[in-house]
Amino acid sequence: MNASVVTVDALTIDYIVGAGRFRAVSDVSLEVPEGHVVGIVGETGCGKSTLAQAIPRLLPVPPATIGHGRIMFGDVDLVRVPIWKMPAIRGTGISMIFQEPLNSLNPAYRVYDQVAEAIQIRRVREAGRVPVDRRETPPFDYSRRPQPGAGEVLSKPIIPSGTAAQAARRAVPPHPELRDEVLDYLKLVRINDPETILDLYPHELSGGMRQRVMIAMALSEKPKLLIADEPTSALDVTIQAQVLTLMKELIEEVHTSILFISHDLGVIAETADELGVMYAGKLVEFGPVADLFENPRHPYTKALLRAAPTRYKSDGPLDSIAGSVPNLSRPPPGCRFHPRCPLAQPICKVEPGPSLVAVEGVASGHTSACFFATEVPNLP
Amino acid sequence: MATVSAPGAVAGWVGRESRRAGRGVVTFWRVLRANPLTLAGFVLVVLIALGALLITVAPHLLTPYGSNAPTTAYAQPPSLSHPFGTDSGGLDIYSEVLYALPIDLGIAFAIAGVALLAGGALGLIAGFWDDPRTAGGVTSVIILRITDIFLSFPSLILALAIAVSLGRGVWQLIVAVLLTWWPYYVRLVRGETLAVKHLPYVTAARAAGVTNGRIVLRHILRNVLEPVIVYFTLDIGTVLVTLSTIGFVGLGVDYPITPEWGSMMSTYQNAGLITSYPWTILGPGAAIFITVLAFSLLGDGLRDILDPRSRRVLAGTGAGGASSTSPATQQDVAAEERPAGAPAVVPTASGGGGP
Amino acid sequence: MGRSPSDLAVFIAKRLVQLIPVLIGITILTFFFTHISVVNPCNQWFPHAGAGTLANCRKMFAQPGYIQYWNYLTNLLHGNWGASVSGVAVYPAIADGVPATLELVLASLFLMIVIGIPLGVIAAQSAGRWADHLVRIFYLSGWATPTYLGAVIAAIFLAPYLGLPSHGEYSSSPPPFPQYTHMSVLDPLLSGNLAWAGDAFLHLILPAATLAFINMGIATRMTRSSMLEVIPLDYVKSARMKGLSEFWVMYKHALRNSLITTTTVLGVTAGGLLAGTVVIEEVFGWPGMGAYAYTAIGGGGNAPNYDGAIAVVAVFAVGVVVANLIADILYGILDPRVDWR
Repeated sequence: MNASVVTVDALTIDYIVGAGRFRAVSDVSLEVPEGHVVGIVGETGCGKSTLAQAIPRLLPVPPATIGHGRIMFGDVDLVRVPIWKMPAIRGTGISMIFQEPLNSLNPAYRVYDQVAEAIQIRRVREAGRVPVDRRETPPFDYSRRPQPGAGEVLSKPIIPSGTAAQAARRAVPPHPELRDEVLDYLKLVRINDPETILDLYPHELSGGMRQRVMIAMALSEKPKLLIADEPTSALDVTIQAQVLTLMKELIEEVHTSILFISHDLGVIAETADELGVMYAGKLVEFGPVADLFENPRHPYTKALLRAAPTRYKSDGPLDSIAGSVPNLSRPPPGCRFHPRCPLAQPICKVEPGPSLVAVEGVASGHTSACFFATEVPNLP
Repeated sequence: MATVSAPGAVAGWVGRESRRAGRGVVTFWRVLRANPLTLAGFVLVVLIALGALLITVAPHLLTPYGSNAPTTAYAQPPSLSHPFGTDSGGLDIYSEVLYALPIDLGIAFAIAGVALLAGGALGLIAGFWDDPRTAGGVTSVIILRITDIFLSFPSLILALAIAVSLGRGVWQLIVAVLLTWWPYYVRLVRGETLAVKHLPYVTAARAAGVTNGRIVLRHILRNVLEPVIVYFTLDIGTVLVTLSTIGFVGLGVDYPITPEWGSMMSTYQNAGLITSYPWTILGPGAAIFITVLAFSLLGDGLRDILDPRSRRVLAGTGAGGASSTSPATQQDVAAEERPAGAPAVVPTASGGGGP
Repeated sequence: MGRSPSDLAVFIAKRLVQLIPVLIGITILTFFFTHISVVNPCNQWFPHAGAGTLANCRKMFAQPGYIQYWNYLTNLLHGNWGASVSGVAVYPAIADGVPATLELVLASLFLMIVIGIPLGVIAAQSAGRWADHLVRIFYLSGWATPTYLGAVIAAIFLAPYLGLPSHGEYSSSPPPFPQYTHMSVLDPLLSGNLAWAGDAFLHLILPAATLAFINMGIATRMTRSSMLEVIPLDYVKSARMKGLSEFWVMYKHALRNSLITTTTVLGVTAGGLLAGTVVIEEVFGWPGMGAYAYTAIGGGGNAPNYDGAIAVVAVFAVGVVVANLIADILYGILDPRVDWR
């Protein structure tokens, strides 16, 4: 297995709101291997977005507090990095695509300004200067690293390497050339008429177009890790398909490591290499996508798969999961899924579900947090 | 509670209104507890009101001197017997400041109150009947045009000009400020009315056959009331500043016959006392500053609840009394990520709202 | 979408046209309050005048209201704004005061923007914590200070303590500069006379700072609440995710959008600033419109100058209208979503 870009280790995140306190993410461990796409699925409110935003420390503190756990990014624990040093890691280190393309681009600036800003931040860092914070050397300085696979995320260069090298030597490059690079990225995300798009404001673009610009902006920093937080959920169905196709093609092209959050199993199935299933703040199953779809080893995953519409049963009533997502300020004792679980035994009401353990009879790396994982195939 | 004889579907919408009205007192205490400054403002306002009451009912409890009753101590600096000193006419400034308190407050409440009633009524009309093709709509347009013209004058300057025409005196002062003050309430109430009148429960009431007059009185008025009261609180301070400025310019009441803070300062300034006996500024200056600050602290804090973002913060901190919780952002993330079944530990802005 | 320069011209022209009814309304209103609403205007206006003046005055007021208004309006447009009781013409006196007042108001506005807006940002960033409370106390203190109190304290107590001048535009009569702008700081600066420019600048500090302190609340308050609305939005997060430092996230991305709302409010503060000049200019001996207004309305126990009072009130109203117009245009420019056509 490759080295991992980010390793989340027993991460726990609480929200403290007034007197209430609920655990949005509990004891989640996760690894994004280099060059892989790791998907996270779960129902709304299962903590997947909190997890996604916790990695680059975007969560507002308070009300969110990271209880314990580590987020290892390379050899740095992001949980321990002072918040004022985070800008040096964001962007070129971790980049993010948000759910609402309507809100994720600044309405006051043109497309060019926004993409160019991202490119300039990267160039300045590549040139060895860290503009954001000069008080200390940042925990990470990608430019000084040797040039392993880790240093060059985009293994297939999308811009002529000569230009990129020149750009790296100059901190603030002249504009025509910056403009060319912005154009390159807009072309990369298959925008038809990039010259026109450059000078438009976000409100003049359609939702799909905005999301493409957002993707271009995120990729233009050449991040080591790209977090896609439900990038297609807010779009119309037809646009969703287009953006998804684009994402798939880009994943092929740029080989960057991606953490792909979605509530849509279909989307994940088409993009991810590995898949984690979250339920009520816990990661209940993790494994290679194909294997996980073929042989789910957690009753919740099984139920999710049954509830997902497929092309084989587009008509007829869809299955749904009985019961509702538990209240996280007073989660059920024992395994959090037991009230809805067809396999629930007395032990499930007392003992919290086991941490992810390997299951027999499935691919390696496929783990489940169910006491009765081996019985899951017997479920209808 | 609105008792509208409505089809069952409508009843749900109508219920929203009573919940919102009932929330007022609870929200008020939550706001006070959440922000120490608002609480301080509230306490000060209560103390000031008590002071105004006492000096009217039983002045001897607060000061041994009568109103406009010179002592034999001329231009004395502050001492135990004269906390703010005396002026060159031998008046105890502390007593005069206290005697002015009910007068200043009374004038301010009269101005803001009448402006609220008159401007509010006009604003309600202009907001509710806003279809320009109807007679009501034409009336509204006329109201708004006149309002706009009044609003283009700095109110202090227009009030000064009117005060010149009217001459000096308490009533003249009230009329002069009032004439410039009502347009702000027209604008405020109209905006709130417009915001409320298209809400589903008003539409539902209309669909259920409730008459226009009843809709305005029962449904719209109640929802407009909250922001108007908050604005009114803040406005008392602004009126006080304005009328005392008119007093300072020398167009207010006749001090020392009628004590009023601005006129006191005016008299001292014109007589050159402020440079030679600087303590004369202390009494009336501190009085007006503290009074206005009290109403502003209270009003500004209350206004936060009108701000959807701030309201969320307050709702969150209020519930637990943890005042160290931070920006508005908190509720957003919490609301987004709150598990579907999580209880409403978080009464968000829309918490009392519809489905 | 029309956002070309020619569209902007149309946008501005439209707003200028919309001004006309408001300007007419202002003249009607000032006319109403001074000619119609007063019970016995001639006795009030000319308490010590001879019989001849009184008779003329009564003849004037005996005419129908619309003729009186028409006369008033034509006089107004011809620059014939009447004279004070002692015979000083109103129009030139007010016109002389405009640049000085403009200078004072612009200086205050500058201070309000460079101090008030960052304070609002700080308050929003620390909403509910001590920095937020401090900012609130600061701007509400300004709010709660009547202009005269602030001016008197600044001029009499603060000025000697800080060693700043508190009266007039210059320490002594300056040499004649070329009068490009009629503004006390700019004229010597433009003619290269740095010493006098510095002197004028020192004289400007206290009145401008007092005026700014008293009116700062609205700008700070508005910035704070619009920042609170903007900060949780996704584009602020995506700016953070670019790797920008918090400073740039706040001031380049969040504030840029908050300013759109704050601008409209700055137009409103023009009213407060202009009204404040009446007392500020009087106390600081600043030779502008405000000081003229103070004397004209009979401030400080002088005899009122009615012609001057009417005119100066109307000029102030026009000032407010123009300020709102500028704010409106700025809003159109700042918010790319506004269509100029």
